[in-house]
Amino acid sequence: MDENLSEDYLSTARSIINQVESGNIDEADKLIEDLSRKRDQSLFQELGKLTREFHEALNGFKLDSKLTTLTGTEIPDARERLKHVIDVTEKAAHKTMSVVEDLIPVCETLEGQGDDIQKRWQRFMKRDMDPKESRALCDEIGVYLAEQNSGTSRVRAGLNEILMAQDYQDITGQIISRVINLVTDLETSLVKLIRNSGAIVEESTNTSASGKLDGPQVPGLENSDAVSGQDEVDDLLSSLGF
Amino acid sequence: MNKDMKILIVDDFSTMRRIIKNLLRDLGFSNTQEADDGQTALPMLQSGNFDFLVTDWNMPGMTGIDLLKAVRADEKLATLPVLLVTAEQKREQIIEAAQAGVNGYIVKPFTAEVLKEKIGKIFERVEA
Repeated sequence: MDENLSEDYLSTARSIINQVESGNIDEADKLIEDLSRKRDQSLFQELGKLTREFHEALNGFKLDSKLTTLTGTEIPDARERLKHVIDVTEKAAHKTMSVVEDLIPVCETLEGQGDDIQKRWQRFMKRDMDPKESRALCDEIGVYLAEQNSGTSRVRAGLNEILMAQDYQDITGQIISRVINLVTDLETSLVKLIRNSGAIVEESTNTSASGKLDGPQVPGLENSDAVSGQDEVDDLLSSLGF
Repeated sequence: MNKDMKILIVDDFSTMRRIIKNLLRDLGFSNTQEADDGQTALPMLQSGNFDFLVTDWNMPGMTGIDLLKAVRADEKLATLPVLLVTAEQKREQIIEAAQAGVNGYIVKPFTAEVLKEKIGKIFERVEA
């Protein structure tokens, strides 16, 4: 009961006593009626408050059903989507590496032949070559130019393939954005649910369990106990006598 | 450093194994084999006359640090040079690896130059 109301009760009660002592029973009756009306009003207020709380609790149940959808369908769905991201990125990486593995020997062959021809070309320019060898060199240069032509075409086609293999970024970016939205939704629902149920959430201490691996550091979310790159690893190891 | 030495690459991601294999080949080491975790790697090491082990840390089954400890505990493998290539970069983990007897520690993502430098240093010390 609020303070105003109890003061009100007290002053009315005093007035009743005064009126009764003075013999004004009619006045006292009126005051008693007043008092009982005031008590009813406060009861109504309490009832109103209870009704509102009940209404909020019902809304909480509605949120609950949203959580059911989130955990029942959307989270497993997100898991499949993220697995798809792993598949798509893995495929793109292998595709890129296959092209690179195909093309490196092409480059190595051209490099070796070019090197060989260049050495003899230098001798030719210094006139350190007999006519027979010069003619052979000319033939070889002709063959080399043709091979270089087809080799460069293959490299170019391969580079295009590598370029096209990067289209995974678009797909995976969209999938990951959707999952981020889902996680945000889930967070909002959980926070509302906790508020409605009036539970007190204690801050959990942010120590990683021993033996648990942290994996790659993410920009903006660095672990203060982690080093920031190879240089710091080397420094740490050399401080340990490496 | 013997370019024909036999190297075992251990990582649960086939793409990373392939990257390391290609980088090693580019450095002149083409005698490589692969395993996808410590459990597969250990029997290969015990029966395969490997000269060098390059391993990831975080793998299902048996992790890289457990593989390293198993290698050091094995009489025949105890002196095998081991290079950890991992995304784990907490100080206590690097210290744990050093104490377990790792020969080199590379954090992902890494460059071909870093791999070359670390391998060079490892065999400089091993052969000294």
